Amino acid sequence: MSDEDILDRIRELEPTIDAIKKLQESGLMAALETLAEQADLIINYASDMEILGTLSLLFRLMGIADISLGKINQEDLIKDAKEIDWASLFKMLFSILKYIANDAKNIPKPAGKQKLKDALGELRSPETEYLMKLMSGISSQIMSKKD
Amino acid sequence: MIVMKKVVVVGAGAGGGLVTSKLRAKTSREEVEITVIDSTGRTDFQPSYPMVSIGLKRPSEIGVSFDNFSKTGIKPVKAKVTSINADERIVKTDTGDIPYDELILSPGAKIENEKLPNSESIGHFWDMEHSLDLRKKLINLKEGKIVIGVTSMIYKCPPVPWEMGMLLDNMYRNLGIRNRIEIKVVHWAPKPMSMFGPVISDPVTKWMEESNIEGNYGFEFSSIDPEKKKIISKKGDEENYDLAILAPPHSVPDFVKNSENLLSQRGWLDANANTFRPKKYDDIYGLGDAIAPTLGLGMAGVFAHFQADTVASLVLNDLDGIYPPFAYNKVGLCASDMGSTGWISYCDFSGKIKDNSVPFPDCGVLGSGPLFKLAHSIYEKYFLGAVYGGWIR
Repeated sequence: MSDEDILDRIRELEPTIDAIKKLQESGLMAALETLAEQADLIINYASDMEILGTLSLLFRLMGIADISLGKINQEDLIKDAKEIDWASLFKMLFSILKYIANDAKNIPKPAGKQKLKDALGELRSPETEYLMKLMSGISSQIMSKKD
Repeated sequence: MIVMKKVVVVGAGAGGGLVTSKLRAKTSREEVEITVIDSTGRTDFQPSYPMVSIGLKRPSEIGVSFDNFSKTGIKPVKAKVTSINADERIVKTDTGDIPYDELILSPGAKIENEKLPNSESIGHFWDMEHSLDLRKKLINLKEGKIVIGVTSMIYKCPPVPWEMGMLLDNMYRNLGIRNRIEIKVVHWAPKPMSMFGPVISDPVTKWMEESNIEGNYGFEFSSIDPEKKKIISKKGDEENYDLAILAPPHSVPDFVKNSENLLSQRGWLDANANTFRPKKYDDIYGLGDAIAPTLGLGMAGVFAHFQADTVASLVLNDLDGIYPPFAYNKVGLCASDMGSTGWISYCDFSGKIKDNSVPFPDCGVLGSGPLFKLAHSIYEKYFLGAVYGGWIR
């Protein structure tokens, strides 16, 4: 490889070197280095039933969300969103918030610390799934009327 | 003057390989001499043996010569351990004696190949050599019945008979001859993977049905008749085959069997689930498949991996008196590549280790689908990279 070739290769790498330099200056490189140093234990730390259970629920939720969202025509949705009377909608939302604020004191607090896994478990309840399917059904109906 | 400590590791597999690299990373060459003894001279990612047998992976992709250890000052010794003189702290091998201050035993299980008849219609994938041999047999089979089974209750990687069934289903579908190949899993378990409870067993049972993989369950292997191509159960049931893929009997390595003080009541390498020491010694540690039956665990690399984290910390504590011990994580993860799909399951074995009468561990499924196939390959590269620091070319 000639000197010119080597210089060409360095020039090709310049944007990458610049990006790495920025990472270094930002402190992110130091954080990555720590991760690399501790990498041998990452799998061990991550193999926790709470973390794995939460991940498992997230993957299932993604599946449900994917089915619901997959039926929506995004272009039509954006077009329809522009036609919404936002002033009326916000007025309605504020009245709902006011109602929630007034009645919040009557809602019992969950016993004990609420874990993320439990919260996700509630999200996965049949009621939530029904709501998502209902939304999906409504969106399908709206789209079919557009055709 | 610094007195150099001698750490000897027996076995360069999942447990031995990882514990060695962890110890090297935390100790200096001047203060600690590390020697690894292994009879194969290689570290294989054993969960990929089924892929080697169906031609999806090459041996060089899943195995690394342990000579690479010498790059960081670790001494690799290719030898067979014949006995341990624990009183004089000497490991005796077929190539000479090796003294130690700390001894880590991760020899794996002895695969008793000689107990299976040598036949063209019998094979297995529980070691590299036989996986390559099985590849030829699978390619030559154009029609007939494949039986996948186990000859003992204990064998490496409990889920693998079903995983192999799915891999073969996918392979023969791709070859366009699946309709001419019958695949059947013959196993002592009452249902597919029922030893892990319904959370795991139910979806696997469904996949077996969907893939048209038959099963003969509650079948405890007794003998094989290579002439008539039949395997026979303890109850006298027979299962005929054109190609039998059978896990050979697994047993405790001879040098452990011959050392009464190293044996547990269950006849395997003795080790405590917290200290990983046999009852009678405080300078010997055991981990991996050789201690799995003692702890009431199945034989799997993931157990050896987390045991290596703990054993390395305990040995480092012995060496410097201050290194904090790392508690043993009893959760096991399994990333399976099953040909057309993959899945990740996990189980917490804490309850089972505490009380072996507990029927199955607490398990869950992280997810399944083609994307999950990647997890197996990513872990394969991670494992070999972690053992050899990335010098795996």
